[in-house]
Amino acid sequence: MNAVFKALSDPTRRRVLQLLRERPMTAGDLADQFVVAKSTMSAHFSVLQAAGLIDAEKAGRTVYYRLKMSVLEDALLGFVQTFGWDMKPDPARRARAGGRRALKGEA
Amino acid sequence: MVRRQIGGSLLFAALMLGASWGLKQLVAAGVIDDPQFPQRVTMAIIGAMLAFLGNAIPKTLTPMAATRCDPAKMQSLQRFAGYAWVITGLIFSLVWLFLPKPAAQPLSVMVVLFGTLAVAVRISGRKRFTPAR
Repeated sequence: MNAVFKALSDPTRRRVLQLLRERPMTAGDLADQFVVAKSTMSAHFSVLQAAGLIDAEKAGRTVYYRLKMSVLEDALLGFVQTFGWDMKPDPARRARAGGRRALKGEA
Repeated sequence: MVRRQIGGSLLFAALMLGASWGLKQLVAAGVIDDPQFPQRVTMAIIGAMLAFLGNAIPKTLTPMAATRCDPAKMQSLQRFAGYAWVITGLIFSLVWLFLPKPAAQPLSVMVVLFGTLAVAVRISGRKRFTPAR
């Protein structure tokens, strides 16, 4: 269950799950939806696969990803999406906090 | 995987039989006053089992090459069936735990029939699957 929480804690991975809710997609199609490097996306897919939330299936040279979530995991994703829950600190908030600290230091 | 499934099924069966037998002994010994309590608990366990099985439906995947229908529609149907059975099982358990037996008996049957019908209607609506690639 810890792996599931870890997988759901990242907004990119949650977006991947949301996209897969509509239909199974290829790794390339999924990666095209994000502005991150393909290697980063590959790491995200690995985390989701390790948590048992997605399934990868090879068809020739193409890898298809599809959802493999139980009702409970699906409900948990919906809950996290609705109420927001990021284990990683928001980069924008971190930058603002850093700016405030810098200003305090100057004063 | 199969061993885990068999283990889970045996555990549920043991839980149902054990709870039913144990609670009947407690009623016979006069520890529990309500003679309907063993039946209520057994039925609540059956409801929990329905919810447990429903929870696993969307996780049961068929290889995409083996499916004779659009994988997106298949996935949508599995998610619907999963939610339908989880809700059915939970309501079934709650009905047996909290309602009087004369009301719980017909209502629980209606709940299961409604859940089955909802999934059947959804399946019949998906008859015109687009053929797989």
